[in-house]
Amino acid sequence: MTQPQITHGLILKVLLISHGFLFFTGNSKISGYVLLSCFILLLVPRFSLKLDFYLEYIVRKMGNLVLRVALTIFYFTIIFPLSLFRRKEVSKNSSFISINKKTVDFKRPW
Amino acid sequence: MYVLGISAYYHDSAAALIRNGKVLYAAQEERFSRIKNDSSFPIQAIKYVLLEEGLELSQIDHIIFYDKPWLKFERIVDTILNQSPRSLSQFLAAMPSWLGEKLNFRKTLKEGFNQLTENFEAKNILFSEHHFSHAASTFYTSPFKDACVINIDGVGEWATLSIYDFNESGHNLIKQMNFPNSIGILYSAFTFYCGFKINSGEYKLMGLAPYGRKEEAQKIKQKIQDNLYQTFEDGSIKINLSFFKYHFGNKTINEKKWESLFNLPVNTPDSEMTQAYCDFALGAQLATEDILTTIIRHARTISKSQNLCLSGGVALNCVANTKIKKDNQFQNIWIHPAPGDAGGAIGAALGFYYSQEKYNPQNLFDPYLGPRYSNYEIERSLKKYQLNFRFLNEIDLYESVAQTLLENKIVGWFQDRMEWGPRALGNRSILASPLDREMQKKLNLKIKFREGFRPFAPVALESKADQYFQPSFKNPYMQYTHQVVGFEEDTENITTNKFSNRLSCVKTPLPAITHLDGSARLQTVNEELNRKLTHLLIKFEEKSGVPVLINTSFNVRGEPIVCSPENAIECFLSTDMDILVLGNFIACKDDNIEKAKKFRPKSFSKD
Repeated sequence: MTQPQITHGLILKVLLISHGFLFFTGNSKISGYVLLSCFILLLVPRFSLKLDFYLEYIVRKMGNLVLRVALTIFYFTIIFPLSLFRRKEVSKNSSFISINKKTVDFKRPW
Repeated sequence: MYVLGISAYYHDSAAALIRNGKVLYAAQEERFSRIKNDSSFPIQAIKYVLLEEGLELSQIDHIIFYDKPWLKFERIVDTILNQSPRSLSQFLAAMPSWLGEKLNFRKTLKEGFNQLTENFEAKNILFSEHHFSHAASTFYTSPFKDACVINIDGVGEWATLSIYDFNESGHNLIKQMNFPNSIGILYSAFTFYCGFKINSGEYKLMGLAPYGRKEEAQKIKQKIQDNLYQTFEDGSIKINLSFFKYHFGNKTINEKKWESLFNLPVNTPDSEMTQAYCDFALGAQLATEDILTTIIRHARTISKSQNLCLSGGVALNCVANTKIKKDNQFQNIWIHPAPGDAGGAIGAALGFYYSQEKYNPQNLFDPYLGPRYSNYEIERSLKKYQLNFRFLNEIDLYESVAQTLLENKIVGWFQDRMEWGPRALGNRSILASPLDREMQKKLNLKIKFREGFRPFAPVALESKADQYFQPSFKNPYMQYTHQVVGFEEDTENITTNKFSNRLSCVKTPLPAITHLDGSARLQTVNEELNRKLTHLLIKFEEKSGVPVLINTSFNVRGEPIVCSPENAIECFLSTDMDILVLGNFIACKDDNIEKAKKFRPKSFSKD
C-alpha cells in the first residue's frame, strides 16, 4: 500500500469509530445514516467508483468557488486600491528600453 | 560537463542534453506524449536524452530551466494592477495555477524529476532568462564568431523583443521591448481574427496571404498601421491597447472594434474561408514585414557585427525572413531550426555552458537530434502490426522508392534520427512527386486532412536547386521562400477561379509545390546534411529529370510528427498513403489492404 492509501484507510477507520460511538452512545441520527451509507457501499461496491467521482467533483467545484470568492475579495480590497496609486505611462519616442546587461544570474528564479 | 536544458509549462516543452558545449540529444515532449504542443513537464524527452547517453540524473552537472518564473509572475501581477478593475477575470484565471504550482517552481520541477529519481535535490536547478535562452539557442548553434541576435516572440518574462550582441567573450543585451507591446501577440491577433488557433495557426495565416489581392491588402495594411499600433523610427511599436484585450482579459482582441474597423466579422474555425480574409491575411503579413525590416535596419545601426541571428516564434515566418534577407542589412543570417519555445531548452543549456567556458563556433549544426530506431526495432514493430513487408538493400531501396514516386504514389519516409524543430527535414517526412498537378489536393484531402488552400514544401538537391528556385542560396531548414523558376503570374486566377481551385490552376513546372504567388518554402539538401534523402533525390532525378520532391511532415492534422516506427505504421494504416519506408523496410498499402481496413480513418483534432 502507498502512503496516501494508508492515510485514507486510517481516516476512514477514525470516522467510522467516532460515528459508531456517537450513534450508540449519543443516539445521533446522522451518524446512523453515515454508518448505513457505508454498509450499503460495502455491499454494493459497483456504485462506489461513481459516487467517489461525483463526490470529488462536487468538492472540487465547491473548493474552486470558495477560492474564486476569496480571490475576488482580495482583488477588490487589496489590488484595486493599490492600482489607484500606480503611475501612468509617459509617452515616448520609442518602445525600446536600453539595457546594456552582460550577465545572467542563473541561480535566481527572478 | 553535462548540462540538461528544459523548457516547459507554457507551450512546446522540450529537453536537450549537451556535453562540453555540443548538443547531443534534443526532443520535444509532444513527439512522445502524442499531444500536439504539449506543455507538460517533459519527462519522456528527459528520459530519452538520459537513456541515449546512458546517464542517471545524478550524473548531470547542471539542469537549466529556460526562463525565470518569478519575473513572469511579476509581469502578470503588474499587468493586473495596471489594468484594475477590468483585470479581474485575468486575475481569477491566472492566480490559482500560480499560487498552486508555478510560484514554488523548484518544488514543481522537483516533483517532475522525482518521476526519475526520489533523491533529486531541487537546489540543483538553475534558471536562465526566456530571451537569453532564445538568443543562446541561435548564436551558439550558428557558424559565427560574433553576431547581432534578435529575438521576437509573444512574450517571455517581460521582453517581447530583444537585441543582443554576442561574441566569443560573451553577450550584451542592448535593448528590449516589453509587454504589452508585442509583435508576436499582434501576429497572433491577426491569426485569431482569420479563424485560426493562436500559437499554432500562425503559419496558416502566412500561407493564406498569397490569396489576397494586392490593392485591397494595401488598404488593410494602412488601416492596421494607422489604428492598431504606432511605429517609431527605430522600428519599435506601441500597441493601441483599446483594440486588444490580452493585457487584461482572457481574449486577445476587442472583437467589436476590429469588426467595425475592418467591416468584417471575426472568422471562426468552422467557417468557410472567403476572399476578404485572404486580403486581410496579406495586409497583416505586409504590415508585419514592414515592422520587422525597420527593426532589423535599426539593429544594424547599433550592432557591431555583420552577422545576424534570429530567434523567437516570429522567426518561423519564412516569408518575412526572406524579406529580411533581401533587405541585405547583414552579410550573413542564421536562424535556429527550432526558434520557438522548444528551442529554449537547447539555448538554456548552451547559454549556461558558455557563461562558464570559452566559445568556439561549431561546424554545420546537425538538426537530427531525436531518437533513432534500429532495423531490429523496426522489424519488431512491423511484425507487431502483422504487416506484409520487404527488406531491401540501400541501392534497391532508392530505386524502388524513386519508381514509386514517379508513379505519383505517396511515400511515408522514416529514417535515422528524428528532426529537432517543427519542420520535417527528411527523416520523418511524407514524400511525393511535385510534377503531378493533382498531388496537392490528393495529399491535403486524403493523407494530411488539412485545409486545401495550403501548398506543400519542396526539397531539392542543393547543387541543382538554382535551376528550379531563385534566388539561389542554401536553405537547409526551410526558413526562407524562393520563387519557382518558370512560374507565370496569373491575376485572373485570383479574380475568377473558386477559392479551392486556385492552387491547382497555377502556371508552373512544379504545380504541387508552387504557391499562388510563385513562392515555395524550399529545403535544400546535400550529402553532409541528409545522405539518404540526397541519394533518393538523385535517383528520382534520373527517372523524372527533376531533383525535387514534395517534403511534408509525417503526421496527420492535429497530431505531432511521428516519432517511433509504431507511430509511423499507424499513420500509414489510417491514411491513403501508398508506401511506407522504415529504414530499409518497405511496406505497400496494396499488400496490407485488410490491415488498413481495420484502422478506420482517424478523426483529427483541429490544429
